[in-house]
Amino acid sequence: MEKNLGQVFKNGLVDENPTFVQLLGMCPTLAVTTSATNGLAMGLATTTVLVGSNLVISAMRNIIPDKIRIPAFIVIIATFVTIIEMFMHAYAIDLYASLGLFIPLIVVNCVILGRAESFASKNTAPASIVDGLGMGLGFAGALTILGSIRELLGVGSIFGFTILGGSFKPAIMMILPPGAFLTLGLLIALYQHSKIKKEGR
Amino acid sequence: MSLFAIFISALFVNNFVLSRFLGICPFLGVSKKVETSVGMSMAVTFVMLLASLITYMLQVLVLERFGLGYLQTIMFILVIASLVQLVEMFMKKASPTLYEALGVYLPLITTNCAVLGLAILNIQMEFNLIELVVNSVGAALGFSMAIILFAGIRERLELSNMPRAMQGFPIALISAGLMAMAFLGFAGFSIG
Amino acid sequence: MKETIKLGFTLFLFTAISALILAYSNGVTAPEIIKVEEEINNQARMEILSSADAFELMEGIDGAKEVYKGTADGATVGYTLTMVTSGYGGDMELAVGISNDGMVSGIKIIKHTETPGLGANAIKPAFSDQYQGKSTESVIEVVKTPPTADNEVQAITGATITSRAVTKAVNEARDIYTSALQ
Repeated sequence: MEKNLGQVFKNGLVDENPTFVQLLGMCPTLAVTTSATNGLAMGLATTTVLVGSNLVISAMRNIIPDKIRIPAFIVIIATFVTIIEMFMHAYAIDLYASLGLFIPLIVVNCVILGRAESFASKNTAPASIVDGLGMGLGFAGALTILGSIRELLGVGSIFGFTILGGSFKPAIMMILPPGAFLTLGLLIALYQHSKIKKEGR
Repeated sequence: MSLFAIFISALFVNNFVLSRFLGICPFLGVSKKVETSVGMSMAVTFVMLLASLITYMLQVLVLERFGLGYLQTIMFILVIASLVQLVEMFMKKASPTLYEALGVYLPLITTNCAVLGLAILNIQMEFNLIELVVNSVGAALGFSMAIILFAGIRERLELSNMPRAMQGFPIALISAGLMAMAFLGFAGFSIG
Repeated sequence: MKETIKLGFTLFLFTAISALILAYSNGVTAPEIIKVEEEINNQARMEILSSADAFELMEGIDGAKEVYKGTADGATVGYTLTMVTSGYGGDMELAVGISNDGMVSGIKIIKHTETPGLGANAIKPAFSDQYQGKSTESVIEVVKTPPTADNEVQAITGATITSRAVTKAVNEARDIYTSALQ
């Protein structure tokens, strides 16, 4: 089955966005989005793992016995995650420190195992890479948006650059745990609202 | 830190779901009914306790002794995956009724980041065996408490009127936000 | 049965290959990681005890994670003590510099998991510079209003727990200095 690569890419980025539509990978989504930088870094780390694991799994899809495919997928994913963790520790120690526990936890991010099971194990390597890129960037985009909103309202800056200075009094609640739930809830409501409006027309 | 402080901290102050954001997937996914959430939290509690003990042994007896710390993630997740499988097979034989009640949720536990998160945190915090058990029990009960309370709220949400855009996940997330806000009250306590 | 063994063997093969790949990338990154961590700690020591030009690890001092003696032209000018304390979000690690005249010469937070915008502000000079020049003679206190006495520091707005944790660590370092190093 040949798929249109552009469509596959857009599918992950927008139509089936892992965060806003599929609601997968919620733990890192809520936990690390205390700033735009953290959100983007987590998103990109996840994208790298996703592209890598999609590539390997699709290339080996005919070798992996069906019965042990889930443990095999997990081993492949965990390998990529550990490599990313090592390289972040060596070359990006600030990000490594601020993402902390959530780097090893990329292993259990349902987005990655979900794509391995539903896409990479059934499609060719090139298509799987594109799918990984689309889904990964869709995830990274959502995390960056969430991080930017929380950082803007909670600290008054985006990516560390002060935007709301002077008389703006930051709503610290936004970067504490409740702010994560509230922001994501309202964003999904907004997404559903626009969908309902489209259908109504 | 005293054992009591570790327990209270894991249960309330650093509640796994509402303050550490671990185990959000089952928290949102399996909390539509109180009954199922009780089943899920029992299964998770069981796996969490067992997994944290086994991964601790593995870390101390194998990984640290042979300088294989970099295999931590991959080994831990394999332990958890096989543990879930074992629990599933054991329960099927030992207690078919419980197995039937939990059946659907058991495989989901592998990808529950609360389990792997707890295993890694236990190592990071450099707990000894007793502290580790206390922390694991606190974390597991904290997870159970959050998910069961949340299910209670969601059962009522089903019956209330709200704008269409807010139905489903948005209102659930906002309710969770309000719960997290309540739990922030515990953060004021400085223990230990 | 035969199939089970075959499956088990296949999975084992996967894990073994993964372990090999990981061992290789660990070999590549591990020295780099040690270098980076070392550099961060060394820089922190330079910053908080700027009068020293060389540092020497001291053994056998309880209560601190690491104690370094700072020397200039071979003469001891002070000490840096790496302390671990529990902040709001988990353990914090900070280095405290104490010069030979019994003054805190500076502090630097090396690792923390405090809330950005709140407790994380502890790394900013506005807060951490307050400890500079504090005497090791008296206990440092945290206050919420601008300090009125010499031994007071003002807490970070909205992050009293973090401020107290840092102060506790500095006080512990002070105790170690007066009891074991002075």
